Amino acid sequence: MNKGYIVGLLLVLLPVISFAQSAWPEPQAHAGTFRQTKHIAVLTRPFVSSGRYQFTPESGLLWHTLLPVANQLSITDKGVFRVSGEGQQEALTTDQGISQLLLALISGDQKKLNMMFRINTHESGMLLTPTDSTIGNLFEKIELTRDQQQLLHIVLHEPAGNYTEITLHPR
Amino acid sequence: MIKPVAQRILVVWGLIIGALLAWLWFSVSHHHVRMNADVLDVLQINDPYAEAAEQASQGVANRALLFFAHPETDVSKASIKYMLAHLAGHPLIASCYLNPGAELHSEELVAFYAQYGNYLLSDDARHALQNGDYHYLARNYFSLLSQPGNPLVSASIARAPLLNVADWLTANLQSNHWQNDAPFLYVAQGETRYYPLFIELSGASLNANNAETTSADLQHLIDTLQQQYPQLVVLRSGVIFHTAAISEQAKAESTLLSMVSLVAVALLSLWRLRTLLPIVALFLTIGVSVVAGLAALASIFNEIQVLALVFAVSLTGVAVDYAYHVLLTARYYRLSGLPLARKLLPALVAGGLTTILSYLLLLTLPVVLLKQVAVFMVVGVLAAVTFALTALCWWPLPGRFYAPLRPLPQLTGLNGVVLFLLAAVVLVSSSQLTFSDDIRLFNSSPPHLLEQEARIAKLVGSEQYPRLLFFRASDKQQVLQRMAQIRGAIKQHIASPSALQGLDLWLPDERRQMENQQLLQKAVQSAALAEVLSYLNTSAIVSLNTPTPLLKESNLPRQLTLLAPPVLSDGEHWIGAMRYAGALSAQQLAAISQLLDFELHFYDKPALLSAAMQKLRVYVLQFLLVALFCVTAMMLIRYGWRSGAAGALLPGLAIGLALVCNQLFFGYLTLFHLLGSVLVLALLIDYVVFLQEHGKRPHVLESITLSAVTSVFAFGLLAFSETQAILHFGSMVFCGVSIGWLLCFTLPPEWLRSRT
Repeated sequence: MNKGYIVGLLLVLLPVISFAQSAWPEPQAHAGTFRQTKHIAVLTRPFVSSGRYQFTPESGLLWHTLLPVANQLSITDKGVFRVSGEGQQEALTTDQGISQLLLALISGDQKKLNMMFRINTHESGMLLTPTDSTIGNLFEKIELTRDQQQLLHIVLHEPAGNYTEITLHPR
Repeated sequence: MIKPVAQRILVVWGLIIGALLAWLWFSVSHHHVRMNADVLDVLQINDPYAEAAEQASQGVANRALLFFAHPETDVSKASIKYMLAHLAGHPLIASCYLNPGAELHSEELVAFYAQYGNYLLSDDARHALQNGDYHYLARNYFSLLSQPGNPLVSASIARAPLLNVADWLTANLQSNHWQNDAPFLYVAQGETRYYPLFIELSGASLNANNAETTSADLQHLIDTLQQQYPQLVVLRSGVIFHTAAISEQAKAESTLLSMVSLVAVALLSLWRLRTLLPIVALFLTIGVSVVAGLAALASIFNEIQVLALVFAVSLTGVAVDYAYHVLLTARYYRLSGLPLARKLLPALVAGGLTTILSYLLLLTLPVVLLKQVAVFMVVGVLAAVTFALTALCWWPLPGRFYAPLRPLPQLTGLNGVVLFLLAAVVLVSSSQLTFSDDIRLFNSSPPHLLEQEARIAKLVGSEQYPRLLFFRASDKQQVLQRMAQIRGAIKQHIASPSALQGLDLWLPDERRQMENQQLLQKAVQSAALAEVLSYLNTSAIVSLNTPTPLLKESNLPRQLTLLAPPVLSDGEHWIGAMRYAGALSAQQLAAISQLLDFELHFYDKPALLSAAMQKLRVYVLQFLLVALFCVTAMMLIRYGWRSGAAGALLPGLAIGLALVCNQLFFGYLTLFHLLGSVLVLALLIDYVVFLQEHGKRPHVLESITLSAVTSVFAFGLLAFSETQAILHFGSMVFCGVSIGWLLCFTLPPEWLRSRT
């Protein structure tokens, strides 16, 4: 067999092997605090917000921003909902594309991520490139950083050059 | 061997029929006459906005909607993709799409409205700023920016840096039944998501045959999907499904009922008439009268209502009467030619004239449908009487036909007391008769389709009959302003304003846009927004103060204009239309109108059609009463007080009792019961006239019996129809003719003028 062919095959298979070796655990419940920084061209300085989050595979993600203004979002596979002080939910978007993407990212659900992205894994995380044009219109690429157990850092790169960094501090 | 006189008569009739058929063919093939099969066209809607409603609803018939729901939404989406792939290139389907504004992606929508960022405010934001609550904008700004991955924020912030467009679009999209799940739309009900597939049909697809083909093709694909995913629910909405189902049902019914009635009538006639020649004469009488009636219609009217023909089938019943009477009189007296014609002349002329005079009354009513029934019946009866007195009296009949036959038994039993009691029952019950004119009663679509329509109406408010709110305005800007006023007023009185679709949702009027701009300017200058502004770069702040063109209708993407009814003009005024899904009571409408400084008109098509149906029903009832009066007058004049009164009472009593029976059976009566009564009257006039002229002789009783049995088989079998209108008609004829026949048979001979 041609040596070049074998090298080529290995180069193609390497990320797959690496991905398989570093496969994330099944989505698990986790919670902690976050710090989100938005870098938007039209803003003179990054917009920083922070708060608490809580994820469970059953009820989705609760995103409770405390600063600069308090607000609470519930992100489920049905959409994104604003939660009022009385606990009532008002749909902000019912676009499953958005909510399922956010849930797949925060939970590290590889099955779902594989359906939406081409995944390049590296030692400390993944680089996700959308294969779905709908997601591609929203995000050019997404970087995920993690330690052995937990997701620590997400960077969402938008096509226009804006990007959002989310740092998680799991409890 | 046919006699020379008979030959000449038959040749003359052959020429007449040939000429009438040629005239009919010429009229229809050269489009001088058009057949109108739309039953609803018969009902003249009396509403000043009827034409505007027609325009606003244009193309509705060519659209179909399928909803897919499965516990796993991915299955619903995959099913839609499967349908799209398999329907591409279908010859009767113009296009299929996921979203009425399909070519407009959400990012394009945001980019479009972001250009007009200084002019757009959500109702909540506008209300807050009008009350000086400028902090609302700041809170909303930080709240939106805090959300992870909100595409409306990312797409609009560069052009509308205060995020008011993101806020406005969020509110606008929420006020819609439709939710976005790009590239799909869906409607949520509880935990279930219903994903729609919109289908635009080609013009030819509404023809009954094509509708059946297209519907069957769609059903085949749906069946395949449901085999694969047993939990998949598919809901259908659209005229095409109803047309296909009704057409299939009508075909199956008409094939079965016509076969049964034809075989029954042929066997019965063969049994009593023994040979085929008299049966040929029977069918020829029907044929001549129908052709003559049609030719008269084609000569007078440019458009013939198919429904007029359906109800003018009474003619065939009357024509059969005459034919039986001629043939059985010929056998009884062993007569033919001139002597037979002389013998029959008084009875046939009296029967025919009474029927003709009764039907002529319909010409006085201002309903084209009834005028057409009158013309068809009058000319048809005239032709049938003439044919019976000429061709039939000379008709060659074989010797076997004249052999004596065992007569039907003579029955009596009706007496003054029984007649009085029956009349009392009718009189007492008449106050209990109730009529229903609700158009929805006559919807002959199968229940599963109606149930699906109802579910879809609940989901999205797309009803089979559109309900529209109309108002007039002096210009287009006023149209948009008034739409916003209506929206506000409805919001105050009805819980779900999302049922209201109007152009103002996507195109705020210019006055409102300028007010929004001023409110935003004030907010920008206030201290409340200082922190927000500290984030914005110079170009963003400059953009807030740079004048930009207002959002105008001419700039609006076409896809958005399709989401609302069009703004129309009657040459003098602009007519604004808002589609409204849901019920609106008279009290609610009055309360809403009180909040407006202009007239609001609710165009409720089901209610309008029901009102038109009621009007038509009242006309037919009036006709029936006047016809009964005329029949009474003619009977009294020709047959004297006692015989005349008995003769007149008999049809009235039979119709009255049949109406009471139908009231008991259905719980209400409809227009179609009354139309059945008209046929019963026409038939019973003949029975009574034959009895009065010739007495209760065996041939008279036999002709009445054969005619009654034939009518019951031909029309009474319609009582087994699934179509409500036909069922009511058939049931009335069945009861009326049966009761009428029984009354004729039991009538004491001494009550008749001819007592032999």
